[in-house]
Amino acid sequence: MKKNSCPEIDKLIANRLNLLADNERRSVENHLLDCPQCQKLMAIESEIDKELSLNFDPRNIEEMVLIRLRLIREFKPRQSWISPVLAILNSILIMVIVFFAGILLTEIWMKVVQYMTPAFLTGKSVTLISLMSIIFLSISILFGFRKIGLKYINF
Amino acid sequence: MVFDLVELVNKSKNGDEDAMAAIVTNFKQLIFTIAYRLIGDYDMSMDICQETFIKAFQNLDKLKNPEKFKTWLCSIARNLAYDRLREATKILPTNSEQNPNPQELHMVEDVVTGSRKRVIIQNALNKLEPRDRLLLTLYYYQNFSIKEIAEIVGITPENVKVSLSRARIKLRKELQGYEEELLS
Repeated sequence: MKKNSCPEIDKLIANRLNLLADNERRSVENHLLDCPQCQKLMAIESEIDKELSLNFDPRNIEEMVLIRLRLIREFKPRQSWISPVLAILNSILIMVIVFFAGILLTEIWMKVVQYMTPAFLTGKSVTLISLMSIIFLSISILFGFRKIGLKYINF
Repeated sequence: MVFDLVELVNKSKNGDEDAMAAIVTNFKQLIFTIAYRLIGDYDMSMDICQETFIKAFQNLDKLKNPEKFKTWLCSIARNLAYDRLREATKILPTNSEQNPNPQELHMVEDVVTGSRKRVIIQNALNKLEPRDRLLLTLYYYQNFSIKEIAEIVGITPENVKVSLSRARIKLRKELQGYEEELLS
């Protein structure tokens, strides 16, 4: 049984962790000198500390780590230069496709507006609408290809 | 430390396998101890230990200051162990929603040392939050400064001692009823 004057276990633990102020520490240590119950509690704490201070040895893992590293290097191609090159090629390809698609779509659009333009539209407004459509289509194609590029080429 | 860590790290960056092996030799106990204390499973801890070194060597170029290698390595081990704990929590159903504790379902086998005390302590540790387990492990490993512990655990240095004291008190509560066995 602990006496009423005994410090709480929290305080005893704090003392072991050197977290108490000087006067509190002195008071706890003085108490410990002549209290067998608290001495027993401290002996338990000491056992816990001893167990917590143990280090475990995973034996010889050096060779295994090196073998696994070699295997990873062997089977995983380094992408340090391949990825940027693929990204550039992909961008060039997209630009070429967008350029020719733009020309083709312009031609088609011009044919369409030639036959379908209402009488109230002037020549200027037809050009403006055509240009806006081409820009919109180009952006759509660009984003579409970029998505494909991102999916298949990791850049 | 008797070995030149910065030199070993720089050599490892250039693919020097002797330097890598020396690093593993010097830190394997620390990393394995952290993994074992966090996971409580021998095989999984072995795996995390190896994974930590492999990940570290693969990402050495990202380490700007080689002097911080030890804390960086411990952070890798911590993240891998936390990931495993999260996976285990997802896979294994737990009775306690507030404190999911996968280790409760497979009590630690006494494969590390063969001591009953060790099993009691590890099972009590498994009932604490992973952060508390990590704090206690690093503190009792004795080679860490408060600043380093704070860095690895992800708290402020001012909070380390308070959190440590709380963790230690929680551990003591988990060990209630085992006093005689601990003293034997």
